Amino acid sequence: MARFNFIEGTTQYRSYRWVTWGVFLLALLLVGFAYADTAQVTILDNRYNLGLPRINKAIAFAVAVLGLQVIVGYTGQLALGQSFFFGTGAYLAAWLVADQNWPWLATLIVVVPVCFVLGVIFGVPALRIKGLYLALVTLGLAAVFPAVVQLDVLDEYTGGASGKSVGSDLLPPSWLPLNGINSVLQNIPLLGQYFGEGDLSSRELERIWKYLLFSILAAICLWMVSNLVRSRPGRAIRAIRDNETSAAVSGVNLSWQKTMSFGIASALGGVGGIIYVAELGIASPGDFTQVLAILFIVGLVVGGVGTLSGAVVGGLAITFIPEWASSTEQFPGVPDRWLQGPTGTFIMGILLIVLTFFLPGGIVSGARRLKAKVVRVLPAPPKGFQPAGPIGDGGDADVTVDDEPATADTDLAAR
Amino acid sequence: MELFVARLFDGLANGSTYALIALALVMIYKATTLINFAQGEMAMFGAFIVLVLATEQGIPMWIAVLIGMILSAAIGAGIERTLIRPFDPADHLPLVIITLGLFLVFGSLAGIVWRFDPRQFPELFPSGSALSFGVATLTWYTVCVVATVLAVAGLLTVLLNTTKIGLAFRAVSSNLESSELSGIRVGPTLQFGWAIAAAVGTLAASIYVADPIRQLEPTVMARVLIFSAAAAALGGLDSLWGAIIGGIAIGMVQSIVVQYVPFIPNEMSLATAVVVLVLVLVFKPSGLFGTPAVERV
Amino acid sequence: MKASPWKRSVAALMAAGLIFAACGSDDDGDSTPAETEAPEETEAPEGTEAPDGETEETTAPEETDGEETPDGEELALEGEVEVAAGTTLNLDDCPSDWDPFRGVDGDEIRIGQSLPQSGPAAAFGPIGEGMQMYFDYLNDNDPIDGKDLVLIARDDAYEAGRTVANVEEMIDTEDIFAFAHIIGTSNNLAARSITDEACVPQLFNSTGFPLWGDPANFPWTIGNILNYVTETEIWCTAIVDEFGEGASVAALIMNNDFGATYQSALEACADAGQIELAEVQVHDQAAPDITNEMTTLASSGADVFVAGTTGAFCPQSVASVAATEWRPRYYMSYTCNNLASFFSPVQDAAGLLAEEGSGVRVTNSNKVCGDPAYADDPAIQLTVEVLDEYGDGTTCADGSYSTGVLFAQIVEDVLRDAAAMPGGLNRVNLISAVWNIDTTNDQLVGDGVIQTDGVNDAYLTETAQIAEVVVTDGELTFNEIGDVISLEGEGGSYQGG
Repeated sequence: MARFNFIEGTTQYRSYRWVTWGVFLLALLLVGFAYADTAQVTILDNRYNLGLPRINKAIAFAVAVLGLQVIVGYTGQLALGQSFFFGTGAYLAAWLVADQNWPWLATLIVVVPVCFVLGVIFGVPALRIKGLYLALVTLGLAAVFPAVVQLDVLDEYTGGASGKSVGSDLLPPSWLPLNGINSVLQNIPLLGQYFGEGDLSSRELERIWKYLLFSILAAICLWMVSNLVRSRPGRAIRAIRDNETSAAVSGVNLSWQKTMSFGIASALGGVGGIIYVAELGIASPGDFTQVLAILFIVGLVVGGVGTLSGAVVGGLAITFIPEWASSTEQFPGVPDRWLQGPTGTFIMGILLIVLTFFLPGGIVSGARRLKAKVVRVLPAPPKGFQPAGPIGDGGDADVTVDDEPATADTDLAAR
Repeated sequence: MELFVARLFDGLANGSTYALIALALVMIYKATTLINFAQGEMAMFGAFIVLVLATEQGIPMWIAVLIGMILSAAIGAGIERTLIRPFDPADHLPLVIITLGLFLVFGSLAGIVWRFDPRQFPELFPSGSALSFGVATLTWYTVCVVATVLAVAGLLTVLLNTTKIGLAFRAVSSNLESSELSGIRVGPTLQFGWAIAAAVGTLAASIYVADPIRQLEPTVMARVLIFSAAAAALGGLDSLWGAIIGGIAIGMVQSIVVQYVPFIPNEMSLATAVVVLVLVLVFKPSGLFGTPAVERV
Repeated sequence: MKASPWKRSVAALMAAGLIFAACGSDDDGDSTPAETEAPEETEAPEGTEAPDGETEETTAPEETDGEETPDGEELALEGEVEVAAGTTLNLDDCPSDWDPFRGVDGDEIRIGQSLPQSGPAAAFGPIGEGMQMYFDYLNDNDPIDGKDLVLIARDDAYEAGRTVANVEEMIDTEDIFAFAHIIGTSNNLAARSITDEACVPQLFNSTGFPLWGDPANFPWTIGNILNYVTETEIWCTAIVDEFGEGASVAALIMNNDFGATYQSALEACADAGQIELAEVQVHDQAAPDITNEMTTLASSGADVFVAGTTGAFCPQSVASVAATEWRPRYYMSYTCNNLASFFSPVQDAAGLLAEEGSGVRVTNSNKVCGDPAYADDPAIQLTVEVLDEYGDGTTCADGSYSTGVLFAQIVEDVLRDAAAMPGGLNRVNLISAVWNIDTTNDQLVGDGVIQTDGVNDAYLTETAQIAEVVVTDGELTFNEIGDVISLEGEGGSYQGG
């Protein structure tokens, strides 16, 4: 039995949830303030950076991988062209903000429906094309995005080969006491020093504000997808993933559900694109190639296919692994020359293989197993339940129930 | 007219190369019903091994290619034994992920070891032109590539249809469980498939870069892979001859359709190939010559 | 719903991140107050006009106008400062924690760079390494201002998104004095909005886009040697000289920012009636090869062939033309002028073309290391030595390291100029030095003049020598064609949106 056992519905359980949520949100907030100015760690003579700009980029990637979770993880369709929609969202938002002077948040109104519709359109042929054929076609789609964007006829909208640059002016509103919060944090004994000293510069203010906005946007997306998964359409798409024919026989409208999934996944990709270009200030064709599509898949798998938290973990992984790998310029025992070049890609490849062997459900499944050793949530016993006979003693639980199989190899079945 | 013929020859030349790599993809697919995303990178790696053997060890070209093929086959067999076999062949996702991981590993490894400068690959075929009218030249190189593709496909077909191991292979790809029950050792059979595919891949890559117009560098196959995969899918992922037809078709689309259809700009050749692929798959979801999948609940 | 595990894993990550931060040093506290800056600034602080209010920021409190030296007036470090013709820095717009001595206040001069060490343009990665080799050589032999010159290079895989993140992080954590030789048009464009706002010099953007010669609007950024527009103009001039007006030109263009510049410059040339564009083939950057495009171009039978492409496509185009019967006048982008990287794979083809009157011509603005014609040139010999000693036996044939040495020398020049100015090495002086360059570099062809003059001449060099690749005694070398062409000063500054 785990160290802590909670039964659903009890006040203990509720306090547990409040506390964990509280700690999490607090941590999120602290990260924003701590990393507004990039921090640097030196390990073995290598300098590794951790800062909000890249964290914001990771949030963009996380939303895109979330889209992949919907279509690949929950619906089981191998649609690997997410970078196409990511890029579309980015360019569309860039054009609206730069040329049409829209505020950033307003671009959601256009990008989400456009990407949704595009996804549905591309989803239609996907009704006929299955499995690995679909994977190849969608990868092909991802590969042609740069060429499409650089077409002469689109030049004035996309900036052609140099990309579309956008002055990203996302300044925090004056009523938000960011500086106030920062000073409070600076006064915390022991930890205060990590929040810098003095007032936040305008650059830092802008970064914190963007971080907060993007996190909220990502949280909304995660919340919506989590609702989707628990809903009736959610069960339908998971049925499709598990066995299409059975699902059809059970009354699931395959065409409708699949195209809707495509649409949702693409819309999420587009939202990710908005965040990306809002953070980086430029949408350039070379950023949205099939390399990015493959990177998203890596994120999907590393995080954990078919999980929501996996999207976040995956987004962080694909942002920081290449970066930290290229920051590793020396490592004991390895000739320096080997560390130049595509070491990040190499590490990600090895990681994929290792994870598939030892942790097929991704990092999230490993984390869950660890967590299961410490905390366990048990469903409430039905009213009037009397345990029959002696019960093995084990901590606080007074029921024995079948727990989630601790040895589930893939999270695909765990839902 | 001359230009048309010239483009025709180009399409033939490119298409044959796509076909050769597509053959390797099809071999793996027939055995395991999965796509080896790493096929191109493994092939490129093999070509580098051949280059090193030929230039640094001074081994004659075709012997170097042969040794390279054998080494690649060994690597392919090793990969199957260590990375693929532990998994249930029916569960595709982990296997696809592993091949994706291998794609990243081989690609970056080549970049780390050999860097990114293009290198000249010694010629494998006689140079010069076999036929020419005006601008349109059919080089001996093209002729030899087409011949090689046909020969390899022929050999593979013979192998699969007349040898014992070929029979085992076909059994495994047709029905895994029944084959096991019939006493076929699935593991070694699949290993054989991987080894052959790896060898074919190295041959394909070596031939591709042996063209005097091309040079070898780590990103060379990654760019071809998408065309070859499209070719394999077009012809049907489990059809060897389909791969050849698919390859030629994709090559022709690239050189003829893009040139002569006025509103398609040149840089959209890949896009055009993808569109063609989608159109074919919509009407024939398993490709032109592939066996349609039958679903059982 | 298992939201808890999600929270927990992310929370664990965040906690890890906090621990991470605990081990790390936050940037604000980085500058050690103990190290004062360059000896020239020992003047007592007269009403410390430190541009920022944060006390921990400064290295030494006296960042003010120091003593007046007889050489001229020292440039102010706040307010509006005119640093060159038509070029003004608005220092009041700089961030509140801006420091003109950031990155040179200790015993180092810290130069930052973001370039592709992996991905499609990885062939240019060795440039960064070459620069570091030259910096090491300088530190050992003739340090600038008595300080160690350090290059901090980060990989961006040619993706503008990563360039942005790299630049931001380097500004935050690496105490960067200035950026140098960032590669790629969209990469530099993305970086420019950051460096412009942060008031950090962004020098010698390694892309031939003419956009960077705009000191009136973007004084903190300047481009590199020969831009592609000037290069195309040189081609045009040469073509007209040889064929008269209206010669037919077939062009191979890469589908990206790089190729697009060549294309529009060629079109401008055609619009002016100087040439006639018979055939233009644009190829995908990620295309496996260009056989289709070359076939069409060859069948045009044009008088001139222009290869506005780079990387692996250069040798491909050489071999393609050689394989046909077409023998046009052949011009290729100078980005492929590295004989070892791009011509040795196709040595025979290049030799054949040269013999048959269609040798590949490149507008070189620098002497190419590895060209036997320059084997005795002292500047090239220095490059070879530096590569050998500081690169563990690297040679020019190993890739673009030699280009890095050249780039590093230009950085050296402006740093020395700035250090010699009143007030010493600081960012304002650096920008002033950059827009008032008047020096020579012996690795450049002709008189090797590098000159800028604010808005009047915003480009470093506009001088080039057309040279043809030939094979002499079994070795690749360049034969000079005609005289050095100098369009120095004619570039003015960038006009255009």
